[in-house]
Amino acid sequence: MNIIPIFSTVVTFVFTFAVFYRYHQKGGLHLLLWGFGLLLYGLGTLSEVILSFTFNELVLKLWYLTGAMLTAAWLGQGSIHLLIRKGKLAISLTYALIAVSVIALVLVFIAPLSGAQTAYNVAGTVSDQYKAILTRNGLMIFLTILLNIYGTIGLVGGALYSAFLFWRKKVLAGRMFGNILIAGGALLPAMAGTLVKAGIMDALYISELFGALLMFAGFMLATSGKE
Amino acid sequence: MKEKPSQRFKPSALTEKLVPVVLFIILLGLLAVLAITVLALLGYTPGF
Repeated sequence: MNIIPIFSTVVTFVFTFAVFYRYHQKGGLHLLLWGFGLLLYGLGTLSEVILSFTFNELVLKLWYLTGAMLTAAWLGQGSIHLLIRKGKLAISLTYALIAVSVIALVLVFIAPLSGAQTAYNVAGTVSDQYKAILTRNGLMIFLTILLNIYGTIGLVGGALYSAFLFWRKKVLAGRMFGNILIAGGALLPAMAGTLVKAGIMDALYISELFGALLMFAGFMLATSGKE
Repeated sequence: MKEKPSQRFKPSALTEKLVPVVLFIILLGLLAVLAITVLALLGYTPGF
C-alpha cells in the first residue's frame, strides 16, 4: 500500500481545520471557499488511502470528483474572492462554479465503469489506473480541463500576484513569503495532475503531500501577524 | 496612543536577488502547466 496519501490526508485535514478556524475568527468568504477547497483536497487524498486497501466504485468516483475535478477550482475561487473585491464578478463566478460543480457531480456518478476494475491493483496508484476503469465522456473531460485551468490560474496566479505586490511595495514580508510558498505549493499538484492527465508521468501522491505542506506553511506564515 | 508599527521591510542582499527569481520560476511553472494542457488537448501527449 501507499503510505504517502495517509500523511497528505492528515496534513490537509489539519490545514482545513486551521482555515475554517480562521474563518470562524475573522470571517471572509475567501477563507470559507479555501476551507471548502481543502476539504475536497482531503477527501481526494482520503480516497487514495481507501483505494490502496480495496477497490470501491463510489470511492473511485469521489476521488475523481474531488481530486481531479473540483479541488483546484474551489481553492482558486477563494483567491479570486480575495483579489476581486469590487462589483459582483467574484460572487457571480462562485454561483457559476456551484452550478458547474453540480453538473460535474452528476456526470461523475452516472459515469459507467469499463470492467477493468477487476484487475485493479491496490499496490499501484489510482492515478495510474483510473483512465482504464472510469469511462469519461467528452463533457466530463472538458469540465476537468476547464476547472483545473481556472483553479490553477486563480490559486497560483493569485498568490504570485499578491507576492509580487508585497515585494514591489516592500511591505508585509510574512505575507510575501507566505504567498510564495502557497504559489509553489499549489503548483506542485497542479503540475503533477496535468502530467498524469496528459499521460506523461505519475508523481501525483508525493506532489500532493509536498503541495499541502508548502501551502500550509505559507498560510501560517501569511496569517501569523509577525511582519 | 500607541503608534502603529511600520509594515515595511528591508530585504537582505540574498532576498533582494532570490525573490524575483523564485517568482519567475513559479510563473514559468504555471505557464508550463497551461502549455501541457493545450498540447494534450491538441493530441500531442499520450492522453487526457
